[in-house]
Amino acid sequence: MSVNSIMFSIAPLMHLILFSCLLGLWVVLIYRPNRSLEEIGTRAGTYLALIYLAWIIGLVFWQKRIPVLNFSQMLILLGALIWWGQNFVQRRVRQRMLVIFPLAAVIVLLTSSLIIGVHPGEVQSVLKSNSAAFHISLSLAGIAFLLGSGVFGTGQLLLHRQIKSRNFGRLFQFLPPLGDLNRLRQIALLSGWWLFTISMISAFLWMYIEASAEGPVVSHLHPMLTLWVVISLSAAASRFNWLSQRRLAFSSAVLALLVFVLLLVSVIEIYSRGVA
Amino acid sequence: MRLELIGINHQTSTVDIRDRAAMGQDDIQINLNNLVEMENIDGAVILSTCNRTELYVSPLQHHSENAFRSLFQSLTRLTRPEVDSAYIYRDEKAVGHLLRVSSGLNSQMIGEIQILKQVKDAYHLALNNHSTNSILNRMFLKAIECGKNVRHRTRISEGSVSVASAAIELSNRVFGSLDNCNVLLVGAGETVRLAAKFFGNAGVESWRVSNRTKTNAASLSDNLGGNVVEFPPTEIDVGWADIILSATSCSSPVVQEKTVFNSSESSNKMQLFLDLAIPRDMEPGIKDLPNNFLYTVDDFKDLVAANIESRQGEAIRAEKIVDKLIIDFSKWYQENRISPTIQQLQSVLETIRIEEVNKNVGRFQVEDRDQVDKFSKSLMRKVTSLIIGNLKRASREKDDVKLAKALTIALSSADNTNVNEVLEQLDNEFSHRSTP
Repeated sequence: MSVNSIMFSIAPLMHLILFSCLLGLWVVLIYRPNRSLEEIGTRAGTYLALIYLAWIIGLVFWQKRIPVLNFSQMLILLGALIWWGQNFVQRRVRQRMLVIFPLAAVIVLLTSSLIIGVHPGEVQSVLKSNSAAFHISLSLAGIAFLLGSGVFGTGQLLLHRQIKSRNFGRLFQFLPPLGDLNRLRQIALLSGWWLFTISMISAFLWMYIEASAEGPVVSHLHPMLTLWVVISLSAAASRFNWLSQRRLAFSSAVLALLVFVLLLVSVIEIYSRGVA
Repeated sequence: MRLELIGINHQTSTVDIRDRAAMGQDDIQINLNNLVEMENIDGAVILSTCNRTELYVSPLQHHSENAFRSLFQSLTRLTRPEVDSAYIYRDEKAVGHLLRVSSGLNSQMIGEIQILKQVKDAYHLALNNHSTNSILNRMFLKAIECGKNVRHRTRISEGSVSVASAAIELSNRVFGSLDNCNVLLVGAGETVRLAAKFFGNAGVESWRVSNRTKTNAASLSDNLGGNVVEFPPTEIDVGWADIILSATSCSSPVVQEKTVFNSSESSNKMQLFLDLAIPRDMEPGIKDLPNNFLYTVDDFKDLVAANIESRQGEAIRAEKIVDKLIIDFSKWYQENRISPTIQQLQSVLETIRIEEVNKNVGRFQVEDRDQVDKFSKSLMRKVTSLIIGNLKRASREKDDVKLAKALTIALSSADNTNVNEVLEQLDNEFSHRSTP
């Protein structure tokens, strides 16, 4: 068994299986609550985050680059960032229901990356530079935070609706408090904005430092710049309380969806044009 | 040794009877000392709470029902007819009852958590008083384990079951921590004071009190460390608060929709309005404002009902956990009941071994005698473990025929007066078992 097959085939498959088992456990816990199992689930999540970290470090050492050499690797890194973020939040806010969302997201990302193929093969020159690695990593971290903000916003909307309609079912019982969700959403949104802003600045620097990347990067920058403006407006509205909490939650959920779609479109665009 | 329980609780007795049956810590200690000095009692534990008084004893022989009731009466200030309504459980049923009590399944409000601590305290008091024995120790430790298991593995203790605690639960669902919440109290009556106490315990430190009679408002705000404000509350006071709690006796609403709308128009902050008054103190239109949640007494009743229903559902799961632990205990208990017989049997067999070795030791060389002794011990150990295993299994299965066969087969070839004694004791054991 070669290191290549361990890194690019067995490891993602193993992660997919482990995350699926954990998702199964949490779904069962929603219907059959059990505090001891919940603690086991939380601990298993932490170990899984460490295993994921070990895999990412292994990939960095093996290919001597941050794993952003193809779309599949970007999805893997994004999944890792989402899961690490989830573990960080879980330590502060006890949340039974919200863990389902990041778990499902990570499973979708891992499945997609497995389908596409994790092995980088012939790496495009534009992705070999350190500037690219820096820019893409920051963008992915920013996207992870923005997606997190969308999850918290969705949770907020659901719980708001439950409380308004006096529905005291599972969502009412298992979602974190509305105030906590709002704080988490705001922190995630502002952190995402900072990372995205730095990522945009790095993109401009990259554009001017490495002339070869100018053409494709400029075309890629237009939607990203538009997105940055939208994120900035949303972050400002959240920071300065321009809207009600419910509207801010809604805007975060929509923004997360938009980010995901734009990310998908822009990356597909880069690859379909065969950037050289 | 056996187990017996006699007691009264909220299901069998009125508050007055329960009050007279209740015992303070000093009374319990005196009673425990008296109980363990009795000839037939090897250990005792008394559990006395506001909802129940129960006496658990481990007697050498079961008391008659009449004698047991008289014993219970002598410990309490109850009359004989009142004691006659007490329930009596024996052996496994007594264990099952205690396990249900510690799990909160036998409580007035299913799943209440206070009872587990009360069971622990009752046990530790008896333990420190040296009035427990191995069976009671095992039973109470199992009950504490059961109480913890049930609360960990089910949601039987989750969700508030009174209007005041439901108001706190809802506030927690909206704001998370209440430490930084500002609370405006409208009214200064008993309901508001009680609710304020709950909110104070939940961490609220910032208060304003609005009441028609200023002196009452001042008295309440002094207790809470808050400020007295206008009655009815102004836009500024409503806008300041995160939680507005009202319970006045006014015949028309004192918190107007317009006031709330104007106060929250520019702030965009979430506010929780808790209307605990009948008739209502807050205009119903407040609930339609986007940032506000308005809850009335009826809404809280719905929340409480939902929580009670949820607890009842969890009780079914809890019963399964309890049943499993009862089976575990019963296995141990059945084996424990046979242990005096086993000890005596081992002693008889050891006597036979020593006699046989001494009788035949002269036939062997001096240097071989140690080997003979070792061989006889090893042989006897194997035979004994076979018999003990059989006895324990038969005892667990409560199969008296098997039990009798096991011993008869084990000892049929032996010719020893001690063996006859063992069989006689076994006969007694059977006769006690068949006595209800």
